[in-house]
Amino acid sequence: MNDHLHQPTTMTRRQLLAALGITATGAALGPGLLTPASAAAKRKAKPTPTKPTKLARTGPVPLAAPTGASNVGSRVLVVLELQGGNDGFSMLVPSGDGQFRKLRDRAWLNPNDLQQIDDRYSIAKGLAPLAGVLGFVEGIGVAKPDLSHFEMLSRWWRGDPDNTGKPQTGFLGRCCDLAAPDAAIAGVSVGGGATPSLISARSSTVSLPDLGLLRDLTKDDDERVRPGLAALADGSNDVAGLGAVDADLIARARTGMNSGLALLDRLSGIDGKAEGYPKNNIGSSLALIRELISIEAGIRVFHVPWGSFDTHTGQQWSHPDQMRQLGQALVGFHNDLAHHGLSNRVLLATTSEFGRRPEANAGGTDHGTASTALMMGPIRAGRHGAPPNFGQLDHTGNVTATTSMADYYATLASWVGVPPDEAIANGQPLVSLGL
Amino acid sequence: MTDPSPSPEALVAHVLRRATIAPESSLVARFVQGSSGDARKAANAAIDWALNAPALPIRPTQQKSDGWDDALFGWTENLRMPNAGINERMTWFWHGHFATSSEKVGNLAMLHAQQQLFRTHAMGNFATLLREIANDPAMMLFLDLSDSSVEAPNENFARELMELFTLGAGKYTEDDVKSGALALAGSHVDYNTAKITKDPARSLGGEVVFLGRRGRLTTTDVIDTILAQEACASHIAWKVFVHLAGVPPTSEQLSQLARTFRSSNYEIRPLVEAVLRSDAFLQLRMNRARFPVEWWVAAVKAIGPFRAGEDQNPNPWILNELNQLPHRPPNVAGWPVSAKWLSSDQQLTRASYARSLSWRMTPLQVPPGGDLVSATIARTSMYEVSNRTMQILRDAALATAGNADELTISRRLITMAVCSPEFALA
Repeated sequence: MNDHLHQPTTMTRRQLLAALGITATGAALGPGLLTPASAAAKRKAKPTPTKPTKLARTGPVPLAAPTGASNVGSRVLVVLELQGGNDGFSMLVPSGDGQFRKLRDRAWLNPNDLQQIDDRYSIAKGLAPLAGVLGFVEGIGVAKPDLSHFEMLSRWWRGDPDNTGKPQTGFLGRCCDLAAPDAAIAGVSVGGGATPSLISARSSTVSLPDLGLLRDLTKDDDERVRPGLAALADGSNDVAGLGAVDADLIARARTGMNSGLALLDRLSGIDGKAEGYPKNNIGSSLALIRELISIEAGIRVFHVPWGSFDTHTGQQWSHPDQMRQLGQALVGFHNDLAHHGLSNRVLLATTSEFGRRPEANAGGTDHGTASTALMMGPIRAGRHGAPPNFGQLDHTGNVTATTSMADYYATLASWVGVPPDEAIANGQPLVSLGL
Repeated sequence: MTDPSPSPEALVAHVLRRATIAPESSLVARFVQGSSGDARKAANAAIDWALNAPALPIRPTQQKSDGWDDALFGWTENLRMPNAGINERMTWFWHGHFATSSEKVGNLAMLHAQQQLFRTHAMGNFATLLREIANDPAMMLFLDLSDSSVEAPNENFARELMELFTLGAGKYTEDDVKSGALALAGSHVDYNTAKITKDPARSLGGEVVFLGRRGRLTTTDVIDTILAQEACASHIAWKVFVHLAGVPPTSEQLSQLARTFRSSNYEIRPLVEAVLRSDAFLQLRMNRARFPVEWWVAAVKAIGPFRAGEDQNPNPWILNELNQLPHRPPNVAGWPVSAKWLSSDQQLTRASYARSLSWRMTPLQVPPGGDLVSATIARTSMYEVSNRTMQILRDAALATAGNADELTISRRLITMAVCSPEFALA
């Protein structure tokens, strides 16, 4: 799997969009949906409509105090998938563990990239501003780990810890089916196309395109085109007249267009004014998610894939850099939610197919097993679960999980009001988080 | 699944959707014309043509300050060429198989050298291609073979070499990954010159056991050992069949294809030809989603040729939004055969793009005895259409005939056709 490490000659997404004459925020949303660079600049020049009213003294960057109520029927789950296998041990660093330090000596982190939080642990410096609000769940994994990206991605997406249940739906898709079977849109994937994790049986789940590119659809002056597209997308199962064809695929193509157009109709409610986010992909995605929550369309689950965490090489600079980007985006999200009275309705939680091996190779780390997840929302901040034992590694040189994927997923399911055992077998919500 | 005997046009369009990147309407007409109404004969003519179409040369590289415009534009121009045949299709296939991303490699010259490998060996010999790839600077940087040391070997290439490139999951152990990584260690790729050097001090000194073979193995030994495994021919044959036929082969089909592949010492042409000439292939129509690249090429062909004065080469950056830019696979597994390409993000982005591109259209040319709908079908090479879609196209042509000019109606019809569910399938 690639690392998406940025090299000087490559184009960033922002540059690509600039080449198309479009801004990178994606949150370019007035009635026309497309924001040329000049219009975005104009909007940015306007004074901020809302300001933080109250600051908690939890870090060097001001964090707004949480606001708003939490009704289980309106709670939102944001799952951030850290792509490529995130090294949880570089996020919440067991810096006081002598055995871990010894295994990692070849790729030990620069002290400037760490912030000590107690005598046994440090966190990535990029997350330091959020030290007082983040939760870390240690040792999340499965009983019979596999070191293939694709095998483990499939298990995480489906919510099938040891590849035994083989469900046809994704874990998040099941959460949508159970939490919002009748919503016009129950789940949305942002920033990477459709995800298998949101495959549902009953509910409507949608993959969001780059909204900046939809001008020619939303501002079409020919009033006959949109109804024509809608008509083509209607009548999902009707394949009369077709010969050798997969009827299910025809139905899926129609559903894709149909649910896309339904989403498009609701986007006019987005004000495009989310502020305080860094100009990077994860910042743009979280800004858009906050706006989509605010239009109150009944969306309960969001999925955002992000990052290049397959750090076989270059880990010592790429991981801290990505933690900085993530930290800035999470500060923006935290404050933006508070400004809109949403703090207590939204739980953000990370997944990753696996962690990294404790012992480093020459420039990074190879595929691992159990890892640490990060959470933000109305939780008890700090460490949860149990630390893995670096003195007892398996035959691949990896740690044994101390918290099961099933328990972690059960926690997320119950947050959105779903009976955990209907979404994942054998899971018990983690009570220490105080959700 | 019912299969009322398809028209010659339908069968030829199917062959061209799979054996080339997208159907060229003039080719459909040509093969149908010579078939005297015999669909199978027309399809065979299309298969013969595709298999014999010469390989297109790589577009020249001129490294610019912003890097890789040429790499992208060049390849997309080749994909759109009317004479792009099976070589172009398989060049694209191997790029997805040995997926390497510019985002990490960041070196246009290296990526072009790799693309040239795919062009050279697209229909050649898989064993040769595999050996070249194991010594390809772009791949060595992408999967961290460069600078892997026997002291602390990097497992990235060794794992994907077996899991994705040759054997498939479950056909090797974690110990094989470790010993493979040891045997492959010791090389360095110079980023500026692409020169590969081998440092004996960082290379394997002792013996390893790799896939049952013991010895002080080299990269060549590792590749040879892999090629000697039964699983290799089967894994590649499976993947080629799925790409060209849309669905996994039956176990009988697979064992026959794998036998063909092995007995020819991994020659690609006999394998591809066996798939395309099988009875099953002609029946397996419209059973996988078009990849974004296939959709884009098909849409550009259907919407074009553009008005005089308009740029005849539409900007391919849209492929970035559709998540299938050349030299930018999402990960080392390439782009999956998947229904995800039918999801709302694809549909909305495609619809807006098609509408935008349709501004450059010329009016549809109605053939003698035809109408605007039949002209739409011919332009889009959509010869298998549901009654429902056909009715919507007819309504669109009728409802607007009185009060809209021919260009406006043409734009509506073509936009709707390329956004139809049928057009989204290969």
